[in-house]
Amino acid sequence: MMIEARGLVVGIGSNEILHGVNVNAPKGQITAVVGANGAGKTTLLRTLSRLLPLRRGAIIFDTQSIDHVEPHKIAQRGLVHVPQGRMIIPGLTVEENLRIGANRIPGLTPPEIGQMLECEYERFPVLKSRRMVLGTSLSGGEQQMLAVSRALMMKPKLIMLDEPSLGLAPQIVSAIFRTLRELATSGTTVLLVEQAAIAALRLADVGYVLQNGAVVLSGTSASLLGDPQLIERYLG
Amino acid sequence: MNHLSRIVFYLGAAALIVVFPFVSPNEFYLRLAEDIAIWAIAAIGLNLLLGYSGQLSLGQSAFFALGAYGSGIVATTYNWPLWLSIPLGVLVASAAGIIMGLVALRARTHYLAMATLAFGFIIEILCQRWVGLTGGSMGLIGVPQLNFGNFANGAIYFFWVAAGTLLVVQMLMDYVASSEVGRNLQAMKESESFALTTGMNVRLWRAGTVVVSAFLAGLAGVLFVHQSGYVSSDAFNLERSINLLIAVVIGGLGRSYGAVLGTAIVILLNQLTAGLYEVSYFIFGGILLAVMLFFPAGAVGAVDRVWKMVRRVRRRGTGTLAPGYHTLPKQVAMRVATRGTSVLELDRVTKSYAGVVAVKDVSLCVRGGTIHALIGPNGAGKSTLINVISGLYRGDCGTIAYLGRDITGQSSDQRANVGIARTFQNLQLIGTLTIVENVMVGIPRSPRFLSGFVTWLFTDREVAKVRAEAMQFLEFFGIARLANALPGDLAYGHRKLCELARALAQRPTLMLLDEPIAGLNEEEVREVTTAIRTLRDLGVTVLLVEHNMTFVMGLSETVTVLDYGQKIAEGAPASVQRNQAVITAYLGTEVA
Repeated sequence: MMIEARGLVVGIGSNEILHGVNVNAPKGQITAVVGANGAGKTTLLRTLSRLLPLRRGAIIFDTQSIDHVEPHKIAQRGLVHVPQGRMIIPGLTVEENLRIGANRIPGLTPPEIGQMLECEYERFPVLKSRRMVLGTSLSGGEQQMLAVSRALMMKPKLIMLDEPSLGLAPQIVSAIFRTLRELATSGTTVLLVEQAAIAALRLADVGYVLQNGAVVLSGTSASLLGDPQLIERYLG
Repeated sequence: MNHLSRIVFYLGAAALIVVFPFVSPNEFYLRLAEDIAIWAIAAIGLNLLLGYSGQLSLGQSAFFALGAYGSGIVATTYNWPLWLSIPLGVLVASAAGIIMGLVALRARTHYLAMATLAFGFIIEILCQRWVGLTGGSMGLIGVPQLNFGNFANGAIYFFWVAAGTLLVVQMLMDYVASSEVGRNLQAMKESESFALTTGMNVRLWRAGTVVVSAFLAGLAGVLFVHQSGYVSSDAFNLERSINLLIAVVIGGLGRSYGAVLGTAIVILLNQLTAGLYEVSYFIFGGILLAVMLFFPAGAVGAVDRVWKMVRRVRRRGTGTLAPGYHTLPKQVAMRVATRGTSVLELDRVTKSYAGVVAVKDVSLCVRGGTIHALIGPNGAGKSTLINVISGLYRGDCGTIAYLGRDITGQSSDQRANVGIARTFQNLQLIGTLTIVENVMVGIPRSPRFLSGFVTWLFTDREVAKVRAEAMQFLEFFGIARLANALPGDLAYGHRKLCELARALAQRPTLMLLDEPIAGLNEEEVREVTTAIRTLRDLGVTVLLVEHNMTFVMGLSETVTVLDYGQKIAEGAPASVQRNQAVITAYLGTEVA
């Protein structure tokens, strides 16, 4: 397992949002957590990257407990979170945004960074042609690519994505999903949360369905796709 | 405090003012007390502006200067009698207040602070450089003193006038603090959209508080100029404005007595440290820093804290919900619509911002006495639509009819006043008011300031009446025993019920609920569900946005589904659940 979450209970203020969630992401595979809005998907990712405090439960990342590790140290250890909304830094160009990612790893030499940049430009050629324009002036799909690339500049062992398909055209979504599959094949573990269950489960190896802060279905994604309960878990 | 103890308190304060000059050891202390009285009047104005309405002014010394010169110049150069010059000075300051009030409608938060700062600089420069008029830094000499022609006892008379004025201003401030005026201001400070949806004309209130604070600063300025018979432009620099701000903050922002207490502390501290020459500023600043670190709620807050520790007040709301759902008494007349009639009708409403069309051509009819739900995936435009209906956003095109009348052009507060109430996704309660006072914010009323003040001073009738009315709504929702707690001390479910009580107190025909059960546990969900059903049984029409499908499908009679801003389905819950377009909207399709 790349990451194991056991019995997560998480609240914001006086609201309890996750009521004992268990989620495991196996190494080198794609895990999808799906569910309707308000199910607690974003809260789950924010908890895993330790942006939210745990009330109960434990998180094991790469065989070590990260319950009390600060978020920036977790990122340096290789758990990288691509938040919803993509968080492209305004005022910085595409390339500068990418360099922000590499800056998180201490001790990289400029040639190494250059090599990583080239690697990302190869992955998403559109970023190369736009490397000198402001990151925020890109289209939604290009921004999502930039966000993924920036995360990859941090050399993640586990990349977590929050609704990467939200608001994007189907061709863009499939380009991004293809990239995620390639990453998994090359050994990076992927954990994504999505509302659009069908596409996400088609992509993933393992799936979890979250409803009102609890896991209500889980299994191989193929078994979930065939489960008639899936629709019910969305529409009550 | 009931009205008897209030009157005793004010009479005591008046008596103290009368005897103070005779017990004060010498003129120096009398002079110090005069200074405190003068500056406290201006500080009360700033407290009202910043502490209550949440608007920061860094240019109060400008209004102070306008009041001072407005009266001082005509009295000195043109020999006007004081009874004419004083009103003129106050008038000049208030007129400037109106101008700044208009500025406040456009410039908010730190922009308003910058605008008032700039205004302060302009007035300061004018005072300094327009020597022909103001005497500049050489000063205006021979300004008539406010001593009623009695030079020997002039200081005593002046103290009486200044302190007496302060007492009256403080009494009015106390009324504001404990009445709907203060509650409205705090609602506005909490959130402008929230205040609008309770039916407040926010623009008028914002500008109004600026004018009142300018009036009070001008009044203080007038007293100042007639205090010693001499005034120079050095008295009106930025430091004055800053000192005023410091006084209000260390006294206690948004506390009725914060301004007076803070002014006294700052002036006395200045006096005590003045003898230490070059280190005095260090000590003064150090003490201020310590106060801000350890008593962030200011002196009044610190006194409060000690008082509460002594009395060991326990207010925490604990235990489970114990719902009441009594029928509302007859005197609480609701304004309900006939069941089945069209209460709200949207015709091709469109709203876009920054090039994104959030709501597109949505037509919708909400029928009287029903519960209607609005659902859709993330980014479907549900919240936008609720905001367009409550008037917080203006639609780009399309019309909205309410009870058969076109309300497309009406503002949010007008819509609230004709019976559209709403709750918010992220709970809008005023943290500094108790639960019952929060409900009182919702009760419709026609404020008459002076008559309200007089009845408040001499009777407890009005206060008791409004309070009793608010209590009925709390009883209705079964949370009456939490009436005196602060929202922060309550469980989340109780706060949700309090917000519902506040919205119901507005006597709505139509209630808009934005995610009423977000963040609640199962038991609380059951309670809120029952509460909403009870509302419907009262005849209130409900339109709600919610993600929890079990809740939506179990409660509503009609469900409208939005996706990418467009209506994709509508009907009874069961038919919507089977609708293929709805399933696709939520679960998506395969991608190529």
